[in-house]
Amino acid sequence: MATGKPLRGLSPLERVLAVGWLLLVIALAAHQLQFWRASRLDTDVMALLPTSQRTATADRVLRRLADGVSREIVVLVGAPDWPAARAAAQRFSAATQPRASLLQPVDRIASFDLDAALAFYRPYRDRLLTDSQRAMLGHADADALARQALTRLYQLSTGPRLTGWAADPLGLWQDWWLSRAAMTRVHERDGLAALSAEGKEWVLLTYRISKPAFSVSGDTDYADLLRLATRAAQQGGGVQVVAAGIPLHAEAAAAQASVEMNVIGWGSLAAVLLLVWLAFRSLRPIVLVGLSLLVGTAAAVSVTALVFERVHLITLVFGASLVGVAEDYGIHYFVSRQASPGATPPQVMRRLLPGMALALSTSAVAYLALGIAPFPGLRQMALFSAVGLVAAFLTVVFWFPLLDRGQLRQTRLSSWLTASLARWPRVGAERRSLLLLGLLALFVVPGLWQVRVADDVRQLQSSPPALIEAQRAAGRLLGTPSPAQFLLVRGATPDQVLTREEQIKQALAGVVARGGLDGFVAISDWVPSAARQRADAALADGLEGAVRERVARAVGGAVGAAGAAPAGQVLTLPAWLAAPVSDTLRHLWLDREGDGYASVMLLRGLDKPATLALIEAAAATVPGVEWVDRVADLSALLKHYRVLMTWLLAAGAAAVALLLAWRYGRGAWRALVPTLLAALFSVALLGWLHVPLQLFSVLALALLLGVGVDYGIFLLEHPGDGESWTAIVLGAASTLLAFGLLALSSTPALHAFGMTMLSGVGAVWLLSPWFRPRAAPHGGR
Amino acid sequence: MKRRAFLLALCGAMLASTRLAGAAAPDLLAAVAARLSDAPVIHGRFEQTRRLSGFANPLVSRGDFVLARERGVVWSTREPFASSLLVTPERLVMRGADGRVQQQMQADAQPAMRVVGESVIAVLRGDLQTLSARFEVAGKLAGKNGWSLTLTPRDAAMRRVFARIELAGDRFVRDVRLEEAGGDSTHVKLIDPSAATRLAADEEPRFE
Repeated sequence: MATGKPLRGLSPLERVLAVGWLLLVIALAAHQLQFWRASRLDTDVMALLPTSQRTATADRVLRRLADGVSREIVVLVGAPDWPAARAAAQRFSAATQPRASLLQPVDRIASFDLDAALAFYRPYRDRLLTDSQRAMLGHADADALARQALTRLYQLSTGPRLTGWAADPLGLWQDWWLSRAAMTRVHERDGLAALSAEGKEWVLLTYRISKPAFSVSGDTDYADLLRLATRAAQQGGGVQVVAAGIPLHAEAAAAQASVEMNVIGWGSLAAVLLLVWLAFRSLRPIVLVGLSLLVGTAAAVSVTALVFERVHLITLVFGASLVGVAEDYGIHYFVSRQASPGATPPQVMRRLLPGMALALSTSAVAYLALGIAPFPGLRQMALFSAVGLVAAFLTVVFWFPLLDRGQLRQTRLSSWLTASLARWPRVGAERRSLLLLGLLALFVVPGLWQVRVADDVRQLQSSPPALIEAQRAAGRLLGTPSPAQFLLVRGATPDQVLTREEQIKQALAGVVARGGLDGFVAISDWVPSAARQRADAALADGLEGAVRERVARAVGGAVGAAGAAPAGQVLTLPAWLAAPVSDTLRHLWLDREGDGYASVMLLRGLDKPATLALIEAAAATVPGVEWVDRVADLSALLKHYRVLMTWLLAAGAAAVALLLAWRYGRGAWRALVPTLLAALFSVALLGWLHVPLQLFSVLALALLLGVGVDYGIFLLEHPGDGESWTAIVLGAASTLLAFGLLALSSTPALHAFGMTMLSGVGAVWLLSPWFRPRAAPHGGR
Repeated sequence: MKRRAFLLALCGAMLASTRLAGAAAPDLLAAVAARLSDAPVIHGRFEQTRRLSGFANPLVSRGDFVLARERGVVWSTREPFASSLLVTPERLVMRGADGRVQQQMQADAQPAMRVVGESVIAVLRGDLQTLSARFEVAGKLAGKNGWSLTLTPRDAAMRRVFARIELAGDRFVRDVRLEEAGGDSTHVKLIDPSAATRLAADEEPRFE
């Protein structure tokens, strides 16, 4: 292929640029090697979401709550009765046993040391009352309490007392512990963590993963092992197994992204190369176009990794569709080379450069517009695509004239495509055009009528429905509070934070009583504020003394004094935080926050949407308490940007219209109308398919405006020129395929994006030549 | 030669004794169970003596009880203060002299109650199958009909409550000693227990 004079026709500047680009590409290759070895890829949906000053604390909390369980898998094995559930759980454990190095069992029952907890709280026993005890003691009379105490003393002994009678004559402490235990549905049964729910008995098994769930190869070791164990457990009839946990989502996301990246990336690459082969029937264009795509993709990954530190999987999946867009420059170049056999490669390149640079800048701007919304995920995608396009473009500009030697013959496909434009119908005031427009209107108007909007942050979630359902079922069975909705409590001192926690619990007592909420997970349940401890101690000590005295009189003889606790001393938060007893709840304490302290209160059993407004209202009545609902926040943000981007889209269309009018005068509508019609068509299609319109569809429309108008421009620029038409057809075919493959993604956001682009680009492709101007008498450039 | 025979005999004896010790518990349980009545209803009187730390005097109470298979037990203290306690695996209800509920616990809300309820019923009925799941059982047969057993908790949760339980009886459990982990102890004598095939008309409502 190469000739004896490789630098023929290149200016010195062009040679310097080509060498300079080579050095950059070498650096890129080195970075790539290091990047894929380190595998700094992100699967966390949270990483895609925006943070701001206002929500930084909330996000910190969310991350902290997630971190605690990020390596944990919970499995619930349920059966109609306890022996069956226990047996099924044993089969499950036995099946995971051989791979214990992969999935380490965590014994929740054994790891909780009740004796240590009892010993820790014992000195403060009288300072710890439940709400109902406080209410009861508030208007109790000592005589009645003494009578009840005597009744119990002379009744059948039913076992557990946590202290001697004299130390706790009213039996308060045991109730306090029982009400703490009632905060979790999980209880010990036969040495297992057990719960009863939804008419079944369940065993809770907890595992810790030993290797990262995420793997670039897309292996699903954990899911495979769990599936195996589930089958073993289900050998008994009526056994239900629910497995959930963050590692499973990460693993599924990685496996899925691996498949999608391969399908979209390799699929579009194969299609592009096939098109190039059919159009040019030569190996050289295939190698060179492939090279430009390789450099483009590598540069996109590297620059994104350098700017964002970690590259999100969803970016790579979206980025794989770049192949279908970045191939345009190489194809353009070869189509022109084919059409002008007399010109040298550098001459062809110089002639194409202004047009291609303009096309690059419009596409790059359209991609960068995706990054207007402050979603790190979108910004990654925008940067990734823009960099990929620029790098592919520069590879074409700097290297193709150097590496491309020899001639390209016309092929049957390219000749046929070039000739096909003349046969394409043109719109006009005649029956066939009106009929087509009528049909289009019949499709578009009812379609638009059916469009519904949805702004749901879960659009970014790509987990398989079965896994999401399992997660939801586990949450429901365990009564796990949502980590995305919580009360943030701030105060000047730790004790003020606790006091405010108690105030908001008081404010919400009515909601709990009416069943809107099961209760809370709060530090103040385990360490009441100092004031409350002193008040409770005063209340309990007075009545206990009186009861002790009356009982002593009734049984005839002395009753020993209480095991005295240091008077006036209270259980403090630092003491609690320092003790192992706070292990499971310590993450709720945020410690220093701004110029004070803060804690998080989670809400149990929050599944009624109507309750949210009540909680928000109650939170507003207590100073320092803030209701945080990240799901609603983010959905509101998505809505905000959907509306904003819609206006920007309209403004962009107006700007393009002005630009076209300035360049083409009265004929400008011919370039714009196909894209606008295509946009309406793709939105109408969403309506017909009942796919809700959301931010990602609007962003796709913005990209469509950038890409679609180009086709009209080319046809206006060279009226009747079959050569640009060939480039458009080849470019559009691979673009269509890339976005069509993206539409297969199981991430709802990418699916919507791909769908919108697929139908939009397809429509522009068909409509643009229909609106083309009459061919000029002589197609001069 | 003689020496070797002696060693063999010794080994044999040791093997036999370990075998005996290993087999003793199930045999004993079966033997005791065979002596116990499995009547649908057992009723009688009781005398309970509790010794609590901090109390100078023991607390002695008397009353009557009804045990019904599949239902539970009603423990009616008559003196010195009248009250009644219904224990079933599902719930625990204490009523004062006026019949008003003073305290109630449901196993649904507090699963630990189920263990308490089941254990109390098993102790009074001498239900060794249930008890041996949670206690090591040792003991001996006495005379033609008698037996006595010592139960020690198997798991930490039960050890937190009881240090030891001692049972003795014949066709019926007649003597129960509960040694609590905290040092308190309760001694219950079941007096004149008798079997019946069904609950009497006045006993039925006490299980509600």
